[in-house]
Amino acid sequence: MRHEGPSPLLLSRVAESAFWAGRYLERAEGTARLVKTTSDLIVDLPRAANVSWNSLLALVGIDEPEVPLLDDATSGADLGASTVDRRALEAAIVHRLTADADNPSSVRRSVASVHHNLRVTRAVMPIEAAEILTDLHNRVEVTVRSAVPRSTRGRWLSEVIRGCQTLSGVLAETMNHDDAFCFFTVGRQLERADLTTRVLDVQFAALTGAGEGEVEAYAEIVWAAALRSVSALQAFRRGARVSSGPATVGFLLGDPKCPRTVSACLTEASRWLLEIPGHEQAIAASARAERMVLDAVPAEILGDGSLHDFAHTLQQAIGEVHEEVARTWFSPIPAEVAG
Amino acid sequence: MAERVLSPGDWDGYDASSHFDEFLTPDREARPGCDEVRRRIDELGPELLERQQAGEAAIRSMGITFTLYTDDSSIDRAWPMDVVPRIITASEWSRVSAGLIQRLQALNLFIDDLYHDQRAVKAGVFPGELLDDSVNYRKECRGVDVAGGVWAHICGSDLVRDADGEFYVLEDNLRVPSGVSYMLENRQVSKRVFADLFADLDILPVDGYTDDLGHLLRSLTPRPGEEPVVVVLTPGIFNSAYYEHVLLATRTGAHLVEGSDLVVSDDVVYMRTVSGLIRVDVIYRRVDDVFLDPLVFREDSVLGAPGLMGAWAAGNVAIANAPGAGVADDKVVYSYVPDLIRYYLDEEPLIRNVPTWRCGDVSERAYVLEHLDELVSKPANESGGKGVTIGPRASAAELDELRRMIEADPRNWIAQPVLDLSTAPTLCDGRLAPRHLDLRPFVLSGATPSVTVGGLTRVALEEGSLIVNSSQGGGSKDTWIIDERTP
Repeated sequence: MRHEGPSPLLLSRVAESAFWAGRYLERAEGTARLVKTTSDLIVDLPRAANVSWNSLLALVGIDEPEVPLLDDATSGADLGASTVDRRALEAAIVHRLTADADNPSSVRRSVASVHHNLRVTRAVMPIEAAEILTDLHNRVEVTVRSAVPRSTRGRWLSEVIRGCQTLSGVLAETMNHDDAFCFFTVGRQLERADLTTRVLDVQFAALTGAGEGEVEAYAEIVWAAALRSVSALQAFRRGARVSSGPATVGFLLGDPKCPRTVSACLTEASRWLLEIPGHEQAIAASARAERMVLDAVPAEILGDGSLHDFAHTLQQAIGEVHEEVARTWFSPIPAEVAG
Repeated sequence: MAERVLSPGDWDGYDASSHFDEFLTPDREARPGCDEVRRRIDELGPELLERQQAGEAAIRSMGITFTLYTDDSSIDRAWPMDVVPRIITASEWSRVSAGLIQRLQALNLFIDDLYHDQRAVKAGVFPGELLDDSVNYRKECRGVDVAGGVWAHICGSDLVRDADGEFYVLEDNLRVPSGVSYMLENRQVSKRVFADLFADLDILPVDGYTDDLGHLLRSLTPRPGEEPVVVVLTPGIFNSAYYEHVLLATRTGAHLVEGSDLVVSDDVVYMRTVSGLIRVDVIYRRVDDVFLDPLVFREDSVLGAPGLMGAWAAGNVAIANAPGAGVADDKVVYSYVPDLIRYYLDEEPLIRNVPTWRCGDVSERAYVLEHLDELVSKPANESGGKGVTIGPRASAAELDELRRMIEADPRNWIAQPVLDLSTAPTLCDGRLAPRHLDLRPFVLSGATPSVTVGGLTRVALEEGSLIVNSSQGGGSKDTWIIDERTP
């Protein structure tokens, strides 16, 4: 119990909502960025490179494609028909990731979840932020038809990304950096770390899954796309690195300065967790995940093809941080009264 | 928007004589307290429209919203406010305030009496049989002693002016009266829009309300000497008054909680926080009685907390307003308030009731049924204008249905004359026009009773309309209590 501390008592329910608001805000922005990067990548690459949209579905944890896989058809003679099918596939997948009201991880639903969760925390949130959020939520709902068509998709995604960033900025600048803000930030950092592992996994799958080897020629472009997906390309290049597989994987996992890397996100999450009383278990879980990152040797996990497994294990470790946070703070049980 | 010039000469087209206008006399002279505002409006001319736009922009940027329900969702709308203030002189307001305090004092004595000895019933002042089928009388509250005998700590009374220019009480809301946040926000907006007038005039401040409320809530703690933990209990984010719950919690330094945040153990209430379970001393509840405790009232309620009533009855937590206080905001009880004031306080009521016929009384019912088409008929226990029929505007079929309902359940119906509500100048389609208004002041009943300085003025925006509810297109105004005695 902490009565005397400077920060006022925070309700568990409000803490949980702040945490989820952080996760969903990051998910909305991250998913929008990823769709945008993939759209650009597919335009850049010749069709023969055979990079498919399917990998994106796996990225957000959706395994079943909405339309039948058409990879076989693309090798057929009837190129005209397969182009149409590819477009239908693309539209279906982009819809699923952006505008789909039934997919809880779509950009649209993520923004709606931020809105819902921040309404709960409204008593601890600055008014400016509430207004920006309402605007963003309304705009997404009103313009949702622009999300899928190629002609409007880029702009729609850019606007969502900008809206999310404006909201993060206003919250960081105007919200009291008390417990509620800690939970919000921890939620964001965990989501971001998770998303970065998924991006690695997917781009790796795109490179290896194509099979016929043609994509190898474009590996550099694909890895650059991975970096761009998490807005880390510039930071990466500033270090005068070339976007080879091991360099990219090493950077996205462990660079301590770029705020999008798994290591940086976990460090940041721990820093904020330290502010909250009772953080021991959550910090320990975060340290375990960070240890996994530090112990990883990029050339090895790329070389023996274990990147997918590694990413998966790392995601679980990040998930454990989330679970510790929930266990510690979100549902204090009545039994404590008796004690 | 059609550009119609708004100029001083426009008062020529302003109808100040069909109803009692609060701003102008029938000869279009400014009423007491209104001269300076009128002068400024005349100076502004068409610029007044820009001030209105500035006000609307301020409302958007301050995020002042109200929630509108549709069948399956809720929408936050910008709060509607007309920037032209509604003016009441300080001398008149001090009379009204005294009347409201007197009224709430009597109501609290009455509620406490009903749950104890029922002296008023024994003395024949109030018919006891009315309690038998009162939906708001809680037998669970019988014998409970509340601090200072105060059950209704916060009361929102609706006042109207009739053709004679006098204020009348239309109803008292003793359960979970809402609207005070908009009174506070309207003042923020009008200070931005009319900064110059605030500098020149003695417009009394309204902000003291949340301080008074905070003091009142803290004073109710059952553990004096310790820093009390005060919470505002809200039904949640989908409630139409959620905006207000947030504002009041923030301004009084209370925690905004939902039922699920509360845990009762051994008749003590706790809230779940990230620092563990913390004892709660005072609950300002914005949830109706029947949702407070599923063990006692509606067992399907998730808005309250199991065991809350037990903790309250044991004196371990204070609840404002106390459960059961709503028994006195029944519209039939309303009709007895003047008698109750005389009985408990031995004083004459300082502020009048609207004449009211009780359908439970045979001869009064006969009169009402005879004159349904001239009267306003109201069910006793609805709020927010629900079930109200305005006789002169109702169809024959509606009146037949009304007659059937009254005959089926006469005790739960009252009727009142159609009031000729006062008007005040309001911006409509780019010019000032007289529109009907009401006023909801809020009365706090603690060690030192207090009344809001003015209250929330609601205004019907359609010509001739009496509908002031924001959910039905009504607007609002800032209420200026002006000290006209200051030179």
